[in-house]
Parts: sequence; structure tokens; C-alpha cells
Amino acid sequence: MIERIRPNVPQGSALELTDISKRFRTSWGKRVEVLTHVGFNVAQGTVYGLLGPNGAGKSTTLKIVLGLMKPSGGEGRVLGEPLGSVAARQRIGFLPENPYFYDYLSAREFLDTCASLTGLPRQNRRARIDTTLERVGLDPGAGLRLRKYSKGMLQRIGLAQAILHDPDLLILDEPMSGLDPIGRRQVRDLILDLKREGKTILFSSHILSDVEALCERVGILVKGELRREGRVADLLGESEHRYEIETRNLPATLIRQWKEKGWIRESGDRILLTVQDPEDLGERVQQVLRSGATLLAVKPVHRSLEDVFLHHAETGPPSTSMGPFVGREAA
Amino acid sequence: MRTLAIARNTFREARRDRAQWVFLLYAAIVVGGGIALSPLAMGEGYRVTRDLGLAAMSLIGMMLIVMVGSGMVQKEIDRATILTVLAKPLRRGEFLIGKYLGLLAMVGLVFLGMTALLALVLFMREGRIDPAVLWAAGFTFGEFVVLTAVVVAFSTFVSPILSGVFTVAVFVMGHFSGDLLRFASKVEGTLLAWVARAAYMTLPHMEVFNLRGEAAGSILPAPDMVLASGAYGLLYALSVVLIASAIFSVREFR
Repeated sequence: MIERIRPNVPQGSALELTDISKRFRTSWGKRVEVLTHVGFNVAQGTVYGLLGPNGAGKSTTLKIVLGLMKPSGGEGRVLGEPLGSVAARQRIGFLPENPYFYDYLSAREFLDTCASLTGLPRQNRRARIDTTLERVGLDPGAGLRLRKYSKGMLQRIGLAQAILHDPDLLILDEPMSGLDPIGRRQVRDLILDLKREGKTILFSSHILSDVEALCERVGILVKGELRREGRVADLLGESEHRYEIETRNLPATLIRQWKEKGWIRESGDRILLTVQDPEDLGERVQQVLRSGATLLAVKPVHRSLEDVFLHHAETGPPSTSMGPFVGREAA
Repeated sequence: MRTLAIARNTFREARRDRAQWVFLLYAAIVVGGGIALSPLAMGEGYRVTRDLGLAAMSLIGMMLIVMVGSGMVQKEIDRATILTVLAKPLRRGEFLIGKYLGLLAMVGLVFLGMTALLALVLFMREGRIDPAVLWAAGFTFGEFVVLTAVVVAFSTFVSPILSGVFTVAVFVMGHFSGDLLRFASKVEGTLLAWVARAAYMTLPHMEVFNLRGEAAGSILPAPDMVLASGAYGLLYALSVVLIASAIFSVREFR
């Protein structure tokens, strides 16, 4: 294990970003702002998800944390150290988006190079590399060069190099990208294992179900602005209850009447009636039954992270509202 | 340690790309050229092989440095391998020095092969090895030490093609840097004189490492000349790598 001096980290915070802005100059000299006053904290030992459409500024934010880019404005600290400092990077593991590694090396050679770069003692390296390869689901005995690896295998090697030196903070840019469903499950389990070990994980993803399953907090970045930030549970509005009544053979008069109010949508031969107020649920069920329609189901539904994400990604200005309710069946 | 890890990796990449095979080209020139030209040299086959061998060593070395070095850093940026490496606890300067040392190790390996082959061929012709030839070869390595630093520096901020072109230009102009000073004295008082003097001050003086004339006369370099040339080469290379590190350390990776 590496001897490390752990500085005083601000109470509970692994990462603090305040008012981070980033401007680029295009080749025509025009200034483009890709991040505008982005600020959020990631508490130690938690999993934080950074969401956003392509070009939202997720990777730029992560690169600023790592010192691969300098912010044009704002400040931050990571693990109690300045952003991008060598001391901070000693305790960070990073998986870039669409990772591409030295393809003339075998997995073991590549990880050995990474181990040298992070100061892992030579005597521990072999065992550590074997354990890490097994942990990400790769065969430690295979001597294949990385150029023969599939995209999914490269993603696993990327994860292996990120966790090899037992970092306190993991920054993963699209860690599920290129993985099949089994691989995604394994990575999800790995992230949860790492969290149980007390690691802090900051990751960006397009796969919202994974974010919803893994993260305590998320930030939604759109066009360089942090449109929404908070606990996943708060964003999903746990206290809000909506219900859906599923029917068949509903009379045309009722369909017309409820359609005008925007309460129903059709799905094949089924009619789905959304009831916003729980107080009205009994009355609507009675109406359906009285009309002679077939009642198929009455189900509670909740907002998905995808609903929240799409709302913020598709609407313009930053908002604190939860956005329109688009129901999804409860699990 | 971290610098050595980068150097080892750079060397391994060049070796697996079979950069060392450039040695075969040298072998073809020295052996083939010697055989082909010796009959025309009327008993001066040894001299022809020696001169050809030393000149080809300089050119082949330059070719190897440009081929491997000109895209060395840009390739890491294009393939985004640099993101993984620079996210490790590594300073940008350490990365660049590692790249330099790795490439220099490959150049050194090829240089040793070329020197050994030249010595063998000359020994087979004359039954002895002239130490002046070995000194001339050794000084050629000084040229490689400087040129490797130049190509690494260019590769941090220009495209591989431009980096290659600039490095070849520095190599050629570096051999004629003395002429720049003479040119400046002829156009004294003009902007051209100022430009020529600036170029003379900036460009490496590659002729410092050219002992091919001395080798022809079997003249050994004086110890102070060896020291001065060695110190000049190392200081020039170090300055170039440090300046490149300073430029590289503010570079952003999108």
C-alpha cells in the first residue's frame, strides 16, 4: 500500500466547485463559453452523477477537476487540494470517455506502467494487478495486446487503471459506454462495492437508469449551465403521487371529454387515464366502471430521472421546478 | 521513477513499431555502398566506406528522430492516451522528459548498432579500427542528443508534418549556422542582419559535433573540445526540453 499523507479535507467534502466558468476561443477568435458558473459539492463516500446531453460540458468539468484544463473563472478544491494538483491526482482515479490506451501493450504491461506512474511499490505490483484485473472481469493470464481488445474490454481496462492505486476519488466519464448488459451490471456492482469501501465516485453518464440506481445526488448540465442539482430522491419528487388507470372499451364520450382535459393517452387498444389528485382516484374508477369499460389496472406512477433530465435538457432557462409530470410505471 | 516509466513506454512503443529496423537501411548503405563505390575509388575503398558510413550515420539518425519523434506527443493527444497519463500524479515536464529519454534510448540503440557495424566493416577492410572514426561517430551522437530535444519540443505544439519539417530545417540550418554570422556581417545594419544573428543565436551549432574531417586525418579531439562539445549538447538539449515543458504545461486538452 502507498504511504500517503492525508491533508485536512473540508468536513465531508471530496470535491467543491464554486462558480466554475470555462471559455474557449474558436479558430476565428470568437469566444465561446462552455461552462457558466458551475458549482456543486460531492460529499465523501457518495456517488455523484453528472448528467447532460452531448456538448453540455460534463467532460470539460471533469477535466478541470483533473487539471487537464484550467477554469476561466471560479475556484475549487479536490480532496482538500487545489484542482489538478499532483497531490490531488495521487488520490484520484480517472476513466476518460471512449478510452484508448497504448495498444502495443498487453493489459499487464499497461497496468504496470500505470502502477509506476502512481508510485505503487514494485513488490506489490504483480499481486495488485492480478486482483484488479479479476475485479473488472478480465483474465490476468491473458497476454493479448490491447489492440486486440473489444470496446467493452478496453472499458474494463480503463476501470482497472483507474482503481489500481486504490484512489479515494474516482472520476468516471461515461463508465458504462460500450458495455453489454452484463458488463453494465458488473460495473454497477463495482461502483457500489467501491462506495461500500468508502470511495467517492463522480461519474457522467447518458444511461439514466444507472445514474438513478447508483447516485445519491445528481447535477444536470445543459449548455454549460447547471440546470438542476440535488438529491436524486428530491429530484424525483418522492412525495408526489400520481396514479394511472388502465382501461379498455371506454365509451367515446368519456374519451373525448377526458382527452380535452389532457388526462388520457392511448396505447394500442388500451386507454391510460392519469389522475393527478389522489382524492379523485375513487371517483374516476367509479366512472370507468359505470361506463361499462373494462378496468385493467390501477397503478401508482412516479417520475423517472429521465423525465427530469428531458425536462431540463429540452427547456430553456434554469429552473428550480420539477417540470411537467410525465408518468412512468412504478417498479 | 515516473519519468522513467514514460521513457520505458516510449522506447517500447518505438521498438514495437520496429523503428530500429532503420538500421538495415544503414547496413545497406555502408555495406552495399562500400562494395559499389570502392572499385571507383582506386584503392581508397577504406576512405570511401569511412566517409560514407559517418555521413550516413548522421542522416539515418536524423531520419529516425524525425520519423518517430515528430508525431510523438501529438499522437498521444489525438488518441487521447494523454488524458489517462496526465490524470496520474505526473508533472507535464516529467512526461516530456520521459518522452525525450525514451526516444533518445531508441536513437542510442540504433547508434550503437550503426557504430558497431561501421567499425566491423572498416576492421574487415584494414584489419584495424581508427579511434578517430569512433570519436567522430561518438560526436554524431551529440548531434542526436540535440536533435531529439528539438523534435520533442516541436511535437508538443505543432502538427507531426510541421514538426518533421521544422526539425529537418533545424538540422540543415544548424550545420550552416556559421554561415549565418558571415551573412549578417555582409548585410550589416539591415533587418536581415538582425534576423540572421537571432537565428545564429537560437539554432544549434551542429558543426560542433562534426568530426568527420578530423576522422579523415586520423586526428583525435582534444579533451577540452570533448568536454565543451558535450556540455554544449547537453545544455542545449536541456534548455530546449525545459522551454518545451513550460509551453506544454499550459496546454489544455479538450
